[in-house]
Formats: sequence, C-alpha cells, structure tokens
Amino acid sequence: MEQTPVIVLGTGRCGSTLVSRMLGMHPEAADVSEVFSFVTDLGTRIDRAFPAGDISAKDFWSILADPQPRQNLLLDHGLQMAEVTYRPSASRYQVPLVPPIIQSMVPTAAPSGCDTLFNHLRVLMMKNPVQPVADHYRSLFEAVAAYSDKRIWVERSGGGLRLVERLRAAFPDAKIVHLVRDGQATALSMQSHIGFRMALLCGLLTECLGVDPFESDDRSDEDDLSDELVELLPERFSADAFLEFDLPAALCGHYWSGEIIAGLAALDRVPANSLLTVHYEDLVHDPIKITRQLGRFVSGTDNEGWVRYASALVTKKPSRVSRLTRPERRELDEACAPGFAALSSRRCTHRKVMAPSRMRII
Amino acid sequence: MDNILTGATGFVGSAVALELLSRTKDAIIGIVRAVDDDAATARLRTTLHELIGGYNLDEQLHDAVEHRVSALAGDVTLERCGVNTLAINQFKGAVEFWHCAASLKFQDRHRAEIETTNVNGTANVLALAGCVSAHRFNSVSTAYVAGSRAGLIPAEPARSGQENNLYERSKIAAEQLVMKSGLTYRILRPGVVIGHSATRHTTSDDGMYGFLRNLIKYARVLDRTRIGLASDHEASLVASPKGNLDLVPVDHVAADAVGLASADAPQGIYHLTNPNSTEIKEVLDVCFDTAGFPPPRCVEQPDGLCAVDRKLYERMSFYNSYLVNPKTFDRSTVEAVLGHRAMAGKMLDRNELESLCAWYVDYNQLGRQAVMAQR
Repeated sequence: MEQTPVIVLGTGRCGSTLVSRMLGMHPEAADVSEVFSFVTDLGTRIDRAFPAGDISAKDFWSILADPQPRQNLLLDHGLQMAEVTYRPSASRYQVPLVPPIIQSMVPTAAPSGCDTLFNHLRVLMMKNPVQPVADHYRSLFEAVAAYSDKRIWVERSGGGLRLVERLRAAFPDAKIVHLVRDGQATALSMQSHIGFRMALLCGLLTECLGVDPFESDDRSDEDDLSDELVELLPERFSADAFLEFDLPAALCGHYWSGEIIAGLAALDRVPANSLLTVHYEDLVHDPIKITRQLGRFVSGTDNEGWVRYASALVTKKPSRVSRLTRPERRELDEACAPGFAALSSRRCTHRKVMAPSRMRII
Repeated sequence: MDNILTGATGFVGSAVALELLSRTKDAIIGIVRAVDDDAATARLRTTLHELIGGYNLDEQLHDAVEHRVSALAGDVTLERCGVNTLAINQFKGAVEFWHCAASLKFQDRHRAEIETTNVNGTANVLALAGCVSAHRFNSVSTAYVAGSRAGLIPAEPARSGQENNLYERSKIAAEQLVMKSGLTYRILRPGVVIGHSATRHTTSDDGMYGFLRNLIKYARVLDRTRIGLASDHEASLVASPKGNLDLVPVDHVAADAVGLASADAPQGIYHLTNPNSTEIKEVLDVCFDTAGFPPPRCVEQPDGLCAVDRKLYERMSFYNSYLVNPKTFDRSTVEAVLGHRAMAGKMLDRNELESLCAWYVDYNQLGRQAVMAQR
C-alpha cells in the first residue's frame, strides 16, 4: 500500500499534540508521534539521530533503541510528560533503560502489546540494507502504519519545528502541518512543561559548565554554577530541584521567538501545496471547520464521521496570560515580539483570511 | 631572613614570592600541597619559572628560583599545616611568615570548605608560625572585609555583621584570629587583584575575571535561547555607576607588601589598593561589551529588574557587593611607611580595561560563540 507521510510541526506547546491525536483517529492514519523527540533525547542529540551518509540496520536500531540519558533521568525521578505513554507494567523495559521508541510511539501504537510491537519492529528494521537514515525512518513509519493497516502515517514531535530542514530532506514528499499558537500562551506552557524545562535547563547547564554534563564528566567549571543550577547536574539531580528552578516565562518567550523566526525561514522553502499552517486559536474557535480542512489536506477526502469525532477533542482552556502581572505581561510581550513580527511579515496571523502568496492558511 | 609562604603557587602568593626573590637575598620556603617535599619544591619552582616569563621579569630570577626557593609538602587545612616537623624546626626565629593561601569560593554549598580553608586554615598557619617563633606574620586578607560600608574605609579592624557573603565573613574571622594570636602581624588587604601591570598576565579566575567569565557565559545562554538575544538585550544591573572599583595589579600588591616588610613596617592593617581607582560604570561597560552585550543600565534596587535581568542578578550575586556602596580605601598606613616608594597606582582607562579583558578571554579561549542548539 502506498503510504503518505504527514509531519506535524510546531515550536512545542502549540496544540500539535492535539492535532496529531486528532489525525491519529482518522481511519486512514497511524499516529507515529514523538519518535524524533525521543531519539534526539528531547532535541539535544539531533546530529546523532540524523547521521550523514548511509548507515547499517544495526546502527539505525541503535538510534531507536539505545536508552537516552535525559528522558530516562526524568522517568527515574518520577517526572513523566503526558506525551510519554510508556507504562512500566506494560513492558519489560524499565527505567533507566527505556528505549526511545518505547517512551511513546510504540505504546501509543500498541497499548497492550508494547513489547510485541517493539520486537516486531526490531526484526523488520534489522532486515534493512545499508542506506540513508531517512530511508530507515521511512521504513519504520511504514511498518508501524502497516501494523494497523493504515495508508497515512503522522509523525509529530514536540518542538519539531527545529527539525524542519532535516525532515524536508528526509521526507521531501511529506505533507507538513505547521501549528502556530500565540507566543505568550506557548511560553507559559513551556515554562511548566517537563520536557521543555529539561531542554532549556540542559542548555543553561551546558553554557555555564562549558560542556554538556550529559555527554562529559568534566566538571572543572562547576564553581560557575549557582547553588540552584548545580542541583540539576545529572549526578545530583532531584525532582524537587528541577520543578522548583525558576525558569522565567520571558526566557521561554525569547525561545519561542527564536524558533518561530528560524522555523518560518525554513518553511519558506516548502512548496505551497505541501504546507498547511493552522492556528491553534482558529482550531479552538471553529473546530469543525478546521478539522474538516485538516482532514482534506492530509487524506484528500472528506470523512464527516471522523470530523465530528476528532473535533470533539478540542476544548477551550483558560488563558494563563491573564494571571500575569502587568510588568510580567509586558516583558513576555517584548520577548515574543520578534516571533510575532516574523509571523506578521508572512501575513501569518490567525482569524484573517488572506490570499497567501506561499502558504495555505486556515 | 627566611620567608615561609602559604599559597605560594597562587595568584598573590606567587607574586609575593617573585618580589621577595627580586628585592631581597632571602630564602623562600613554600608550604605546598604535594605528595612529598621534593614534589612540593618542583611544583613551586615550576609555577614561578612560568610566571617569570608571563610577567616578563628579569631572566636572572630563574637562577634565584633554583637556588633560593624550596617547599615543604603541607596543607593549611591540616593541624600545623601537616608539614614535616623536623624540617620546619630548622627555621626557628629568623623567619617571616606570609599567609597567602585562601579559598575564594563564595557559594553556599562551599560553606564548609570556605570555613575550613580561610578560618581553620589561618588558625593552623598561626599555630605553625608560633611553633617557629616567627618574627612577623603577614596575613593576606581583602580590602572588601569592609562589607556593606561605603565611603572612606579606614585601615582598622573590620566589624562583623556588615559582610556581604560567606567569603568576606571568613576573611573577617581570619583577621580576628591573627589579631588575637599574640604574634606580631601585618594584615594586608588588597583590592580586586588583576593581572600584571605591564603584561596583563593573570593566573586568577576570580574577582573581575570571574565576573567577566560569568557574564560571557550568560550571554551564551541568551544567544542559545534566541540567536542574537545577547546583543539585543540592554541589561539592567544593580550598581552605583559613579562609584569606584579598586582594581589593583598583582605586581603592585606584591611590591607594596614586600616594601612594607623590607621597611619593617609596624604591626597594623594596610590597604594594598590602587590610589587611582576606576569608575564602576567604565568597568561594567567594558565587561559587557567584551561579553557581547550593549552597555548596561545601572539601577539602585533589584525590585524593578525584568525576569531575564533578575536571573543575571542572581547569577552574579557575589559580585553585586563590589558594584554598590562605593568605597575608597585609606592608604595612609602604607604611605606612612613607604612614602614615595609606595606604588603610585595604575590608571586603568577604557583601553587598558579592554586589553585586560581581551587578554583573559584569549588566554582562556572564551571567545567562542554559544554552543548553538542543534537543528
């Protein structure tokens, strides 16, 4: 069966999880999400997950199955993201040796047969020839889709916008759904999300220590870490210290802006008929309409039953932005301003129907 | 006169050792952490040989190092510094002690180490000096035991309760031990010690260099968050812009210290500081520029800082105390002894500050850009 790749991208905390869940409910689509989140260890080992040149089946399986330090550290301390559908009772793989694809993709695709699917995929992947990593990933996603007899596979990873160049190179035929959400709301959500906190704090540790503490034992600059930050080194890590660390929303806002600016520049090169930009606020405002248009873009057909079923997942959540003080709001606005400017320059703002020069905007 | 030094491989201690070699014919005996006395001697001599080059000193000093410098294996945190008793007893009487060893850490998590090294360590060195009936005990402290005081700081005993941090508290306690020891003492209080006045060479990673290094790292954090954020961000910092910061070259500190000893200066407290101190704002502008930031705004209180600047303020909390409550250190006790021989001080204009910062960045290879997150 010819399969269609669909990739849902966003900065993270933008509604892309919701969209991929909705698409995963489509009768023709398989949800293969969070593969890239976890094979890159929350975006910190991207080069390792996308090696250049051809690689063997064994090396590819290593990318999928070798336990990764950051995600396992979180699990080991009881910090489980909602996206992690792994359950210790459902798999023989236990912390700290949970393979990346067992964090989410495999248990999502086979909730009651996690290890069975994992073993099945290993057998299949180990038959692959030496080939580019893109071809290995494609064979993985097609295998998962075929496992549930679907013709479309939908991959979404939190913060996947960072990978758009690599994903376009790997899957030039993919349809791309770009989820955009209000920067302030996204930043506030990032501030409290376990995965984003870990990624941002790892960056902080790396720049202050001079080395990535998860990749090196060198602690010669440890005295440059504050008392608060030193407690987040992997050898000293505690859930309390992690959750209590004061990560300013404005810093997340700056991060959002940076991702939007870089992501849009990369998306500029995607052919118009391969890209759909969806605003989370539009989805919440008119879920039936947006879901229908998503379905058409992804499958090329209408399925009203699915539209009604999937759109029911959309709920309006109260905004946390209103809880900010005026100075906090002002600072967050300033942090998100460059991101908004980049969106506006492409006339990429929600609830405005424009004649796009390059993008299909709904 | 023999000179026994602790901290002789450290920034100030090594400069004192070299000044003693240059201006006297005395022997220098270091108490150095090593497996044995031979290794201690080798370690000290290696340090001094390297600094003769780094400070561009007279090449003849290399011979002086070989013939007049030795060391005993020891550790100030041990009782009587853990030195070989037989070896130390040969120095009874005609010996000048120089206690230069210290921990410059300040974080809460290092509380025990700071106390052990700076307070207990001083007690141990005093005990050792007492054993050999030292002629004089020179104790290197810091001018910033003045703590939160502002204005003219007299060369008098520091008051407890005004310290800004654990480091200052430990140095005040150490001074009090020295004053109560019964030994004839000189308490030497340098300002913020910087590299050599001519070559800018430094082995220090503390003081102004610690501030600069952490600023550079913070800039990298911002640039990693969003490319170009550091250069876009006009930071606010709690500082007194018109106040002065006492930056004093290490060779000037050593020259005044040894000058006082050579003149047999009386027991007392001496500020080894720069008569030409530098405006705080100038130092900040140069450090921020070196790190890739625009010049900072100086504010009086941290209340109105934005979240990003508050993180910077928290990160730099140790250094904040040097940027507020501007002080001028009274050098009258130094000048009373040395007169025109006292170090005249070095004018640190913007060019010189930039050169000092650039030297440190180049030497420590801090000039690389942020480790950009992968894409």
